[in-house]
Amino acid sequence: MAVPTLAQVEELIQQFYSSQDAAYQKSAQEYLHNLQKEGFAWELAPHLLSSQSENSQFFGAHTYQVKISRDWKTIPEERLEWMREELIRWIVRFSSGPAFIRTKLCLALSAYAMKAVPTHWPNFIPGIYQDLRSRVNQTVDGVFLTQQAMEMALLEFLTIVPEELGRVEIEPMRKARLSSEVMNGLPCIISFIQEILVGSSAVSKPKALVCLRSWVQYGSPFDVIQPILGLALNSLLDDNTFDAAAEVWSEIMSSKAASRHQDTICEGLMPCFASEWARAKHLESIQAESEDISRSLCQLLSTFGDNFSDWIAAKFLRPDIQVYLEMMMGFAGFPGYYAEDETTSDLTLNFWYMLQESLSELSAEDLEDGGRESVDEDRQIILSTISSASSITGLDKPSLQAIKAASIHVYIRLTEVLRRKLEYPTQREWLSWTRDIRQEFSGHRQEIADTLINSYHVLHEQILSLLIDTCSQQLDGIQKTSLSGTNLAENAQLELELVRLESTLYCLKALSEVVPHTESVQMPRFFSDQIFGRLPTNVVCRTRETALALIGSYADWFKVHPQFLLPALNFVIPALEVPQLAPYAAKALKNICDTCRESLVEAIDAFMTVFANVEKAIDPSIKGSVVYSIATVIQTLPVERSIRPLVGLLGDIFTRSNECMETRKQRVEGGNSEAVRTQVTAANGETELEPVSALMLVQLEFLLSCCKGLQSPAEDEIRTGDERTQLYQRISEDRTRLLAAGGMAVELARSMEQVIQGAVMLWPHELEIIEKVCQIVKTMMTASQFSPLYLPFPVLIRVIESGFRQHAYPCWLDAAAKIVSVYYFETTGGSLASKLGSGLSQGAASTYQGSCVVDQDSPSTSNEVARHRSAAELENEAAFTHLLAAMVSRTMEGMQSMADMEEHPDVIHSFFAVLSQFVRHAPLAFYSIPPEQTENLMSFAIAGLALQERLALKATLLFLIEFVNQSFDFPELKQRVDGLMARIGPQMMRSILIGIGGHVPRSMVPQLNDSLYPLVGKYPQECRSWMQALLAEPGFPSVHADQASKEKFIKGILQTRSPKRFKDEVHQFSNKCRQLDGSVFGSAI
Amino acid sequence: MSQYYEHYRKSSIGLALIDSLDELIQSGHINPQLAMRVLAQFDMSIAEALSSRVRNRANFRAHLDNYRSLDDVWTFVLSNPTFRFEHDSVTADKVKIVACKARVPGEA
Repeated sequence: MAVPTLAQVEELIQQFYSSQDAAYQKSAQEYLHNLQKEGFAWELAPHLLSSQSENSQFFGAHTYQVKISRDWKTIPEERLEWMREELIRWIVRFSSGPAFIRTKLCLALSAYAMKAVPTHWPNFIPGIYQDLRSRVNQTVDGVFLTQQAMEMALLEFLTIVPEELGRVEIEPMRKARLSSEVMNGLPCIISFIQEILVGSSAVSKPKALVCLRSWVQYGSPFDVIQPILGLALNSLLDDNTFDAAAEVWSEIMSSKAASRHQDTICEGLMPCFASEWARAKHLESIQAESEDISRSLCQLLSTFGDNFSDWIAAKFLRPDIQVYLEMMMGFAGFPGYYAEDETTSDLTLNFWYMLQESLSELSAEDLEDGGRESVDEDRQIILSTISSASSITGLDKPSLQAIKAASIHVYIRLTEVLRRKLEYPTQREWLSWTRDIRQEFSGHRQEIADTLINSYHVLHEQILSLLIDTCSQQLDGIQKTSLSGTNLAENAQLELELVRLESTLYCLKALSEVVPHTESVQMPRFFSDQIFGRLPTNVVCRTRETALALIGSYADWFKVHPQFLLPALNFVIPALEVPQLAPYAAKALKNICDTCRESLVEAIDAFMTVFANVEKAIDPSIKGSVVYSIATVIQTLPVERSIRPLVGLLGDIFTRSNECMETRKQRVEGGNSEAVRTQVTAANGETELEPVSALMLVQLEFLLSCCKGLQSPAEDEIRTGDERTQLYQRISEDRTRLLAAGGMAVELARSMEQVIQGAVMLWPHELEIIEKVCQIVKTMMTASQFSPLYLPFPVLIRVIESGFRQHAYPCWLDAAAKIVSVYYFETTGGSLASKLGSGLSQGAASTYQGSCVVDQDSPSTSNEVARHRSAAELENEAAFTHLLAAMVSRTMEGMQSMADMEEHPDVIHSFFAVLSQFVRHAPLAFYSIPPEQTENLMSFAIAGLALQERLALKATLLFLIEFVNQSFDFPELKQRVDGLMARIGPQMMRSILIGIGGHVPRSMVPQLNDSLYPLVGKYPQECRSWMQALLAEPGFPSVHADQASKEKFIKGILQTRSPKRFKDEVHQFSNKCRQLDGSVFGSAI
Repeated sequence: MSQYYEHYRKSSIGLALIDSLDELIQSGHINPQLAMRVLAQFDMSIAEALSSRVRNRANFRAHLDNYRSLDDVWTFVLSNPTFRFEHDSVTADKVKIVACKARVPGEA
């Protein structure tokens, strides 16, 4: 770079700061950065600092900082001391400001210290202290250094040093020596701060406290800072220094040493908190609703509470603690709406939680004499540990009881304070808030709800009693104000009363998480006619929304108290017809039906009648949820009894589906391309489904909801192979018996099949509809229960295959993956050992001639003899093989190149996922497809390792892991697999090594490792020769891997069978190839 | 810089960040030291974001297979869990919950 003149540089700096042109600014910044890299920048810095322009002066100081940090080694050793002297001289010149240049120069001197201490700048803290002091009242370069300017400059430097120490990245040995130097200088710093705090300079004191905070944050030993803690306490009682002192104390309280010096800190701070000054300040902030005053005080009190809740709990009865709690209560109920008017109140919430925890540990003592017999042994051990911990407090039983009584009083007040904070504003005010503020307010309500849960742990039944009494009073108020009319726009008092009631209901809803399901005193009172029966039903408002949410949240409680279900449902069901309330009502209904299905089963007829009455009025967006709810109740009925309600539930849905299909069929047969289109352009320019297709989609959504509701909660139970087979046989027999009887069951099954097959036939290329069909098909796949609505396995597998043939959507592949995992075992004759016998290569009846494989689902016992499989089982086996062959050929047709694979990652993902399922659950089917197809798909998988698209790459890798991990016990099959590996092995190894070498993102290396590890374990000799041949190629797999690292890699992975060491070797080699070896970032994951 | 938990590095967003930083290193745009600084910033930011910006809630039910506690780190292995979110539910075969000591983000 050519050396510019000073004037040119100054001009550029000026333009850089004043220009509005972002592109120019960027190029100027780049030029200036490059300038700082040049050797002549050392000379440029002092010239710029001498400039008249502040921007140039700042850039000069910055240049010093950059040069010292980056080009330290270019300073001749004999110039080091001169350089330090130069920096200090500049700091003195700028000691009175501008502050930002002084700070930058202090940063430069700090960078110097990080490099020079201790070798070239021993005792640097006392050194600079003495140096600057000696220049006070002297003129340096025309600048007279006052005492205050010296203090400000020195404090600036001493504030920056600990921050930089925490950030600096140097070798541990040098860091230790630097820290040791700093520790030696610490008493000097503390004495300097002390000097300022006892002095009279109002300007220096806050700065001294900021400096102290910086050193506390650095981790200065408590005993070193202890001498000035008294002064830091006094600083809390002064408006000028309060904020800075509060930050110092927050830092001290959060430090590691705080717990060891709990008493010193707490006994020191508590008189300050209880002082007249603090109380006046607290009162002033609340009365003036001034957050400027309140936030730092509240922050300080909350930090104290968060860190010393145990201490507060133990001294709960002390008057100063009561004052403290009163102040915290005041802040918790800070006037105004959270987010809109204030952001102080949430600072206290964590404290109430911590205090409750501490109080509950104290009260564990109560169990000492009495309740121990009723607790089990484990709990006794825990309780004795807690008791011994709390006994340190030395509290006797009467004191504990007094604390308990006092804490109840506090938490009752807190409940009322928090309830008020939960109140919404009027609807008019709410609508005037911005969206962000509304969200913040709602989030705050959620946090209050969590705090109320803690209150429950202190108050138990009392909080319920309190809230229910409040409810009762509020309902009285509503009753009175309703007399003036129920139009909320005209009756402001009624709106106010409803808002209050809403907050109380919200509290009760929050407590549903902790109220025992067996609670039988207070909640029955709430759900009685005196309270619940009086909840408003003639106005549409948020209060009803919350009431509905409350009902849903107590679903588990209703299960134990079914007598209250009917009134609850009478409140919920009419709300389904009111658009504003319907989503809440639907959710409540879903929770109740799902949880209390057994209790509701007897009322199913009444339920169906109510549904028939409201069905037409229900918004389609929530009808699915209602259908699901009713289906969950139907699920508990015996199959025979479920037919009639199902017909009632689905009759209208089937009718509409058939209408849609008929219309669509006519259009398709008409052959008009315009009429056959399923998508249209909406008014807003976006494409959407045309009306008939959209209506069909809605009907399919309802059917899906019904199928989901019919799923048994026991579906996920784990069963043995025998249990699975027996269950499947029983279900098949039930189905045959029921359908043989004819009637509505047959109609129901036929209607479902018609809809599914009709949708696939008439909308084969419409993704939204096909995805919905696939979801229904997957929901029907269950081996644990039977419903006439669920299509049998042969129909399902046909639907999947025909659907995929028409359009290769990935959802069909996902459905195929599920059908293999759910049905293969049961429908094809159980475990492989039972099909083929174990270890025998002769006589195995299989579509794969004479082959036997080890079953990965249930490993065979030795000498098991293959059983004769039925014709149906062999037919099913063939159906699976056929399905796989169809899927492979159809997918490969559409994937002719890497570009195709990159373009359809979703298909690749689902394709390899289904292959993995076949390898795991149906290896017979996997090896029964034509051999050339197997080889093609393996080559396809290896090509997939070059994909950059993460979704597809991961599925490919998982398939390879599944494939390599197979273990075969049968000679013929083993021979075939070994032959396959011999052909594709070198290519597979090449792809894996290229991936490890950097072609595959580093986050995928664990998966590459998982495929390489079993490969090396199963084919050690082959792997050795493949790897040696491949790694002998220059620059393979990366130009950064040298011969030594390649040899170490081969040796490392071939000589160990420890998965961890193997993984480490792969990880190290991968880092080496990526030039990350030896870097901290290389080991970041 | 204060110490933050590093376990979010293995989340999807953490892995994506690391892969992106790797690419920037390979192309010579940044060095590993800067990448490490970015990652340290990620540790801090994700802890703060999860602590202060997440308002959603989920309930779950599962069979507790086993649990352990070591150095204030609790581990729960759940089988067949069902997570219920506001409008959706998700199931899995197995889930491991690693719970670390709650602390103010940034506290050492």
